[in-house]
Amino acid sequence: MQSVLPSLFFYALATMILVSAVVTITRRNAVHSVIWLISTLLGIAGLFLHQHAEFLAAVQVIVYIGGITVLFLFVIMLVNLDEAAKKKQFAGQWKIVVICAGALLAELGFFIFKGAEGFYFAEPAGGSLQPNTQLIALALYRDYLLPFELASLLLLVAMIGAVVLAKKDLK
Amino acid sequence: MTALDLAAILPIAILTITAIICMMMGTVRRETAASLCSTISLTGLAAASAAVIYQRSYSGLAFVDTLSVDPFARYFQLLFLVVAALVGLASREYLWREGMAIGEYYALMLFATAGMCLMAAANDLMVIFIGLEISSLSSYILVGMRRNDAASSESALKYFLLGSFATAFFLYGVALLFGVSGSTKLTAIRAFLYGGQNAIPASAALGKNPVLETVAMQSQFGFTGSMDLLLGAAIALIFVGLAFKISAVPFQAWTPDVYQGAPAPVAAMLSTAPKAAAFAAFIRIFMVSLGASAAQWSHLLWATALLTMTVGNLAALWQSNLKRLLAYSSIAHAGYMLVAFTSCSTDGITAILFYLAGYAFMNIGAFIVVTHVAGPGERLTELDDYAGLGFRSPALAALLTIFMLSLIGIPLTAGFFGKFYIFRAALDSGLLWLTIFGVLNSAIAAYYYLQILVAMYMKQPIDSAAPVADMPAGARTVVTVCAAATLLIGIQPSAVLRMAEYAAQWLPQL
Repeated sequence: MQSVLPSLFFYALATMILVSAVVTITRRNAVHSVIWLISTLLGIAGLFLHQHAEFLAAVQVIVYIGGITVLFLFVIMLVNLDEAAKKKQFAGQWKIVVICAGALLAELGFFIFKGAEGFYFAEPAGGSLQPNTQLIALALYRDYLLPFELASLLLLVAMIGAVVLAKKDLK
Repeated sequence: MTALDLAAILPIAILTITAIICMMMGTVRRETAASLCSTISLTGLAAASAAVIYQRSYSGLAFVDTLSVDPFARYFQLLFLVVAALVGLASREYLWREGMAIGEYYALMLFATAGMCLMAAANDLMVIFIGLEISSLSSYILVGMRRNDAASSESALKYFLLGSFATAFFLYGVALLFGVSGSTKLTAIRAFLYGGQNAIPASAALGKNPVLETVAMQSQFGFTGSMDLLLGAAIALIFVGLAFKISAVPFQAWTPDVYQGAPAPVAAMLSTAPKAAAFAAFIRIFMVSLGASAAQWSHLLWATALLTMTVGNLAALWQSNLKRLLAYSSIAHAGYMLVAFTSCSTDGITAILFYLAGYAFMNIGAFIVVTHVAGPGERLTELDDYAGLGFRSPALAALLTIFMLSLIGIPLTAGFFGKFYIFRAALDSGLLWLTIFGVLNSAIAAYYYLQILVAMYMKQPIDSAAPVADMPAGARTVVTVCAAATLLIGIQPSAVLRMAEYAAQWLPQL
């Protein structure tokens, strides 16, 4: 017997993602927006967990919520917020918005009208891809250990480059 | 980590550590930093060369088939290390003169060398890509390091934008090739394309990997028409990405601007080592992995080779700036090497390897002489600035003459044997027309190289011309070594040729 619990989870998370995404773009205060963005990202992490992708869920929390939003906050604190708050919040591109939203709605309508037969679905996760985290670890730290470590060298070079080219004087 | 893994990674590890040590020299006083950094990097490069030579007792694939230990990789790695040592030594006084960041310069140069060594030794498209990115990113920054010079910043930005565009092409090609074959390992792709069966079981046999097995399932639908199309697109995209890096026509537009704006020693490096690295990746990917579809891409190579030679040489005829002229000449030389590549034979590959070595010495020598004549701020790079150089500074003019004669391909210089082996390999493979065009092109090229000699020896110096200062010790050593190597390879090519032959013969045995 299929439990209703997974669907319940999905809908709860989807509502959370959608609501906080809408709030993110409508707040005037940029810091508030970032806080709501965290909530969106948490919801997505929940979805990953729901799909048995534990590693992705953890990475979502660590990298996006832990790293990227902090970076956002840094940038917000460095730029002049008072100026930005006075600017018009929406660019007023209503025509393009309506066209895009219309296209998306049409797709959604088509999907509901045709039902599941009209599409090829990807194989659901699980099955051969379990245990998820161990497999990723094996791929990263055994099969592709070298490229994985070399990527850090690449990041180091990029970092040196940014400093060399942006530093005020070379003394 | 096995002994083979350690041997495979040792040169790259040494280079990386040396680069990090150089970076820390930013804390040392500027007066001592230049000589200290060049000493440290030369020591590191020597140690890395020793590590490469030490690899000779090993052979095979390291790090779960991602890195290859073989003579082909060793040949290229030694070439990169020699180029880095020459450029590093020659730029010692230059950095001080131009007020550039010394520690970072050497660090980036060593990182670039490490990236190129990876490209030459990689047996995995991902490693090739990361190596390519490490070396490209370092070169973008090196090009823009004369920050008080607008031309330098402009060329760095141009190089960065076009270069990232080209790497994106390459990466897309890699993704498609992975989609076709189910692997990024060059040897596994080869097995797949030749056998028509799945490449995965062979490589997964080492370690059973369920992730890869699902990928194998997906590509088990066989080698159908749409797969052929996908393979064609993958080859084309990878070709575009690498053709940009060797500045083959029609992806050459960045070369003159970048070489002109870059610090001259950096231009010397760009025209030799990264180009050689791109050739290494080119040869490895196309000869090892995509050998099965040689019929498809050899036509592409034929046309590219012809266009690259012709456009490079014709455009060089109209140049009056020495750095721009050498940039166009480097495009033309890439064209000659593509002629050898078109032959798709072991002889052709040998010719490319030999040519790359000879070309490295003569071109670095020429660029270093240009660096010195240009003087502070690199202002004197026009052909008129060379008027009467033969009387003002006979030694410098004589050295430049050797390099120019070698670039033309006059006997007794490295350039002659380089061209000779290339055209012989092309003729042996029945590429009669391409050879004829190549020889015609070398004749055209003689015009603009001789123009420099005419300016140096047959024109009166301009009265206002400042006397050329004595060459600093580092640059003098490099130019002398380059001239000696150019003549030595030209008189006795067998030593380098044997090494190139050994490296090239090994390639089809993968």
